[in-house]
Amino acid sequence: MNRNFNYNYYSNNMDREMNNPKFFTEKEGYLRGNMFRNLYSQYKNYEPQVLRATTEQEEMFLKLSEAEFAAHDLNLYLDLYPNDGNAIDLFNKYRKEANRLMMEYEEKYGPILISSDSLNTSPFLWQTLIFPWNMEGLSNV
Amino acid sequence: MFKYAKRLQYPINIKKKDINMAKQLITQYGGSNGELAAALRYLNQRYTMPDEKGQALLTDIGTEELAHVEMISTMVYQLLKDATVEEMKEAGLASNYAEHRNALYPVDSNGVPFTVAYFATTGDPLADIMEDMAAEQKARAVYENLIELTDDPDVIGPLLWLRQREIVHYNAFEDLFNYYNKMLNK
Repeated sequence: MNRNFNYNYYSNNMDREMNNPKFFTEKEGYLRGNMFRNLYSQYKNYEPQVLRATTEQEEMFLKLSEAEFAAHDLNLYLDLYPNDGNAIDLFNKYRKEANRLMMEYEEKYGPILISSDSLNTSPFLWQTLIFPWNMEGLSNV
Repeated sequence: MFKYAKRLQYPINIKKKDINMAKQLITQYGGSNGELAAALRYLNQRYTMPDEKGQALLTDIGTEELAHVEMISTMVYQLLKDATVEEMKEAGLASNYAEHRNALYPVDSNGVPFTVAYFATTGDPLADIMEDMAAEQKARAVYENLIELTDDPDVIGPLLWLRQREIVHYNAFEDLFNYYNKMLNK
């Protein structure tokens, strides 16, 4: 029985690109694990986990995660539908937001990428900050 | 090439040790329908996709699957953290302890080691993408099975999220399948 797999796809026809897709906000999309409203399929009565930031750092980290995720989900869609102007605009909005937040976060709290400007210090911050499997809370404190 | 980002795609923060759940969950690391098989399947199949649509999609989804390998690994690691030998024995993980102590190793829930025989590459784009669609469905089903096996919200949250990603990927692959089907069977 395929009870949870019955909904509309991006589009069943490559000739008909989606010009007016209905998107979640980046916050809603990140909690659910997808940006496309018509693709969300809740499992039974399980609600998505609520992610609560308790510090300023966690708040910024969460926003960064949301923006990066939104851009990534649109990236997958645009791989298939590269002429959808609305999706390109939205992708670029989130891409810019993610880049801005990444720079701000790294400047304040240390590197996430090895290309970060925050690595111009001694000791070398890449390995002194915690790795993600040891994270507590939402960010790499 | 690939670059590492020092963050998880979605946060994992499991506070309660649960060795039995770790034993079940590890199948999404090293099992036939798991994330490692998914990552290798797509990243291996992408080279012979007929055009840039398939090459892009398999690259981008394959890369995301690597992030899911890291999420599942983190969950198993946290569920097993500080488990004693006695606790490992009680949960049926004595053999895991003998081979690996509490370390991670890609196996399924029965302890069967990962093998690349779990996925295929035929060089036929329709056959390959149909396998990818099936893989996403099977992974979704396993996530649902795993959700039923626990009542820890710290575990259920990420599992629900990963399940939804399977649905998104399935749909992308289905669109790609329909596109190539039309293109190749003109």
